[in-house]
Amino acid sequence: MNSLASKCPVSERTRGHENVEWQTAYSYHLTDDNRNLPRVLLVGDSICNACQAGVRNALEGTANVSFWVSSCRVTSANYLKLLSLRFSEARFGVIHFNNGLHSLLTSTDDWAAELQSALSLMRSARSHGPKSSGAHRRRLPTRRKTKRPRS
Amino acid sequence: MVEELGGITTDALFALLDPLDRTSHWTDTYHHTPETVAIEAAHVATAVVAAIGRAVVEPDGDGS
Repeated sequence: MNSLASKCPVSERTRGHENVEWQTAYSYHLTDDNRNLPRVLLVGDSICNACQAGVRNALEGTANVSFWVSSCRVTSANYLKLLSLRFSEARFGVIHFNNGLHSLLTSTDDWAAELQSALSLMRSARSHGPKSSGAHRRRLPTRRKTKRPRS
Repeated sequence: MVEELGGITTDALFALLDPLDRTSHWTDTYHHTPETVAIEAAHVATAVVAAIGRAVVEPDGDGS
């Protein structure tokens, strides 16, 4: 068990809190003339937060881009509940998921198992709303070169 | 650019960013320079547009 997890163990497969946990969510064009455009949800961390404006601007007039960015990771307590909350707020045509860097200290096996739960939730959201396409990114490279994460 | 993982399309952002020089494209261990963020945003936007093309989207009249 890593030092972060030992601070706030919740369950065998759940990572404890970081010292600061944060979330930000924005949705756009909920009522105006663009409201019927396809909806896109970006799910991620600070990396996603940095690029969401660029994505949103690039897709202006093509799709309505919402985003939920946070320090939460698939092994966080209540992660699936939080993700479900985002999915429940609109029907998304595309969900882009890029949330791995906060899991760097998580055991790969635990992370992989919880990632599958998140993907299952995406599939469920897709099957209960208009057909959606999930675009998923496991995690990004860091400044220090590391091996590509395994599939 | 994309691959399939368990029925989910994977946007290969790692493959896009990993070859880049760490000194000129990263501001710290994890975060990128504004120029790199723009590259990433353009890549994500392209992937999303492609995904929209594959999705059958039937928005409601109320936009939900």
